[in-house]
Amino acid sequence: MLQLVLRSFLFFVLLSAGPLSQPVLAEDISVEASVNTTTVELGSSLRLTITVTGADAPPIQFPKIDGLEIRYLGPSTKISVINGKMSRSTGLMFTVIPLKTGQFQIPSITLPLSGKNYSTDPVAITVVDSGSSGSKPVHPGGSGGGDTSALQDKIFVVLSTAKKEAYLNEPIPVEIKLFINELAVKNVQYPSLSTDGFRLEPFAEPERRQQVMGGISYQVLNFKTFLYPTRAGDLTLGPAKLGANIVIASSPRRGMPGDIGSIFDDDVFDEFMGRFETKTVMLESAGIGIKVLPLPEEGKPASFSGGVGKYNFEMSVSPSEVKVGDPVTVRMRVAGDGNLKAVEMPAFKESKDLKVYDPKVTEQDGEKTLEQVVIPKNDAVRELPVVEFSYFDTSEGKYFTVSKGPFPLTVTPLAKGEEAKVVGMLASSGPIFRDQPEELGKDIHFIKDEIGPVQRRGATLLRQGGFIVGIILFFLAWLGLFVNYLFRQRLTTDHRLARRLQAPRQAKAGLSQAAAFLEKNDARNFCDTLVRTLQEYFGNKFHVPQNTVTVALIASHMKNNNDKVLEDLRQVFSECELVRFASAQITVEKMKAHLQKAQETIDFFERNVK
Amino acid sequence: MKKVAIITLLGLMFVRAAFAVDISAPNFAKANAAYRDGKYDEAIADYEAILTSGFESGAIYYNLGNSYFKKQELGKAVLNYERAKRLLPRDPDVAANTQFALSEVQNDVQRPLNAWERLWEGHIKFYSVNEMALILLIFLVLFGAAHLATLYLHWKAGRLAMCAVAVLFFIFGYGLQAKLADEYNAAVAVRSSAARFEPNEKATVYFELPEGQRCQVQEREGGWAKIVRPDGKTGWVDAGSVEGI
Repeated sequence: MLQLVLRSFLFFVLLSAGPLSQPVLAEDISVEASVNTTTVELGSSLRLTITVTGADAPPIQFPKIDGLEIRYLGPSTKISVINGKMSRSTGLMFTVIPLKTGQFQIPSITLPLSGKNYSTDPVAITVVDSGSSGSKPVHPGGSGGGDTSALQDKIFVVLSTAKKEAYLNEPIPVEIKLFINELAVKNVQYPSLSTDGFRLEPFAEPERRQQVMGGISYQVLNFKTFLYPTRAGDLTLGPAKLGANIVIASSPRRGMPGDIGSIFDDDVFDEFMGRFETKTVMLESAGIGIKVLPLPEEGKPASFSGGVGKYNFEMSVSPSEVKVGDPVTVRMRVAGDGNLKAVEMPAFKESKDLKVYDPKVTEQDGEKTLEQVVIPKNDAVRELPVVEFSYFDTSEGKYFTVSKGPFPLTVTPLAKGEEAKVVGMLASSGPIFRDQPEELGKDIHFIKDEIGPVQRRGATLLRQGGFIVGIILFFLAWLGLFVNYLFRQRLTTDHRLARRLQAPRQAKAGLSQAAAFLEKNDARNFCDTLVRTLQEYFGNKFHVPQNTVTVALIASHMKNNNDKVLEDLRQVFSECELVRFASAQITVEKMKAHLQKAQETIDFFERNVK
Repeated sequence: MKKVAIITLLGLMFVRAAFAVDISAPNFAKANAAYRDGKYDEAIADYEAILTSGFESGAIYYNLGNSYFKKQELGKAVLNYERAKRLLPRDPDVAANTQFALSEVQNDVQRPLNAWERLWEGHIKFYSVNEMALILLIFLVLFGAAHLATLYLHWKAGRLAMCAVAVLFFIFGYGLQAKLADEYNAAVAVRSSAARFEPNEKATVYFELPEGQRCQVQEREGGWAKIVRPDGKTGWVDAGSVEGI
């Protein structure tokens, strides 16, 4: 639907643009006479069309022709746009009815258009008896379209070349034209061409136009390309083959003679609507002989690389001032009408002064370009040398050489410590360039000679007892030290605990001292030491000042009073007090007994009182 | 008494290791000679004999891998290279041969790793299990020593040192755990097999496990093993077609 709207819109635009473009069209005025067939049976008719292009068609009056009757049918207008150029033509159609057999000629008609006279070519026609025609006219809706030979006047292929003689590699324009006369043709294939000894370029999009040939107007599809001879000698080009589908009317179904059949066998709509079918035809042109001349050896320059035709050669170099190791870009361009594929670009080669990279060569739009990076290896390079490009000019029949350069180049050395930009070039070791990446072989490394550390299979350190025991021992040691630290820390703050823990140790020392005085029979000091030791012990034990220690205080800290212990203590304290303050006498046995009691009392309290 | 016990224990361990080298070394040399002569079957038998006797070393696995590679048994070659890597994680020969063998594996599936994963994998593959265990022990001792030094000697930088050691300890500890888990399940296809959706012959084939492909064995059931490819795809294969590293 959208397509229909667009087409309608285009048609409207073309129609409305028609009158505006009249002055332009007036420059391309032409008049042509054409028939749909040049052979017609007596009793049939043919169609004559006078086509006026670029101007309005005036009325035409044909002279009377003996044996032919010409009747005017009416006009038809056609507007076409080809390659953006619009043209309008008017066809004045006539029907020509032969009245007798023989050769006839429709005479030239002269028409005054835009102040000038334009004439048609005469058209010769042949009228034959009914049933003797060699080529049956075929037209859409007609019959008998199945035989290709019957179509040869309606659709055929013509192969042509611009020249029949050419040099090796010289481009030869080729045209393959498909002529179509009053046939509905679709799915036209690109032609194939037998090209032994030639190289064929791909065909361009075909051009469409109208062409009158032999008095008959044809729709022409023109396939154009170029051909390059690849060997010398007398060669044959073609034939060209081209496939297409033609749409023809199928024969209406008829009963066989003697077959009565049913009235329902006839399809009424076949007659009324017509039935069409598509037929594939393979068309073939005649071949063409082409003489291919070899390129002359005489005067062939050393720089000739296969270019045949006319060429322009341009070259540029940039930058012209570089440091050692910096890239210089060389650009070349070859353009012309010759065979560019056969042209080898004159790229720079590696030398002791120049490092060159592979050139990048591209070909498009009728020109071939080269871009190549060239790197001066040292500062002795002063210029890029002359580059020559040679080609063979076929029109002149001789070789030509175009020279470019030399191109001056200023190369400065690298500063001390400066690295060259090019990979592989070391400033310190001079201009060294890396070649292509080295291809290294690949395989497994050789076996090991030493067995290395051997262990039980699957035996890891984690499963070995020694490792685990070591971890546990370390942990315990750390834990011990840590706890010890914590305990020490507590003693510094908890004085009650510190004194309590200190009490037995201090008492032990005191009792030892008292025992020493006992040995010396020093009763006074013995009693002093014994009483002080007991007071210190109980003072530390109960976290009270030692001078406040009495038997009553001690008894108050005992949950279950042990009378014997308290009585022993009381005796020790009282008798020692008498010795200390009243200078009473005391026997050695008594002192030993007091020492023993003091020891037992301390042991008792250590065991039973926390 | 305690010292005597420790010395005796260490002595026994040394004698055990020395004994292992003593009995393995001649067989190893014999296997190497067979390899040099191109008698790869013989070399394989000798290397396998050492392993069967209950001892192993990275060099044995490496040489065995080479022997299998020469016999075009790619799966077993990769398997033994991987086992060698377990004991010689930084050995350049083992790394080169493993890489080369893996390059020969048809359609070797590998999971693309991001930068962190590459870093982590590089970390845990840089050390052997024993090395990581020893490093962990050293960190433990250092941590304890730094702690005690902080307490008793009032070392000012002690807490910072403890933090640093603790971080390293956890990195290596987690690494060791990951490494053990990886090595415990890691396997290599010793022959090509079809991985199916279910552990039976009639189940649909999910993918083909090529010889030499590394994978993880998730579980075993009857004659089947459930494997996970590096890209996460799982399938049941014939248990005999994969061998644990």
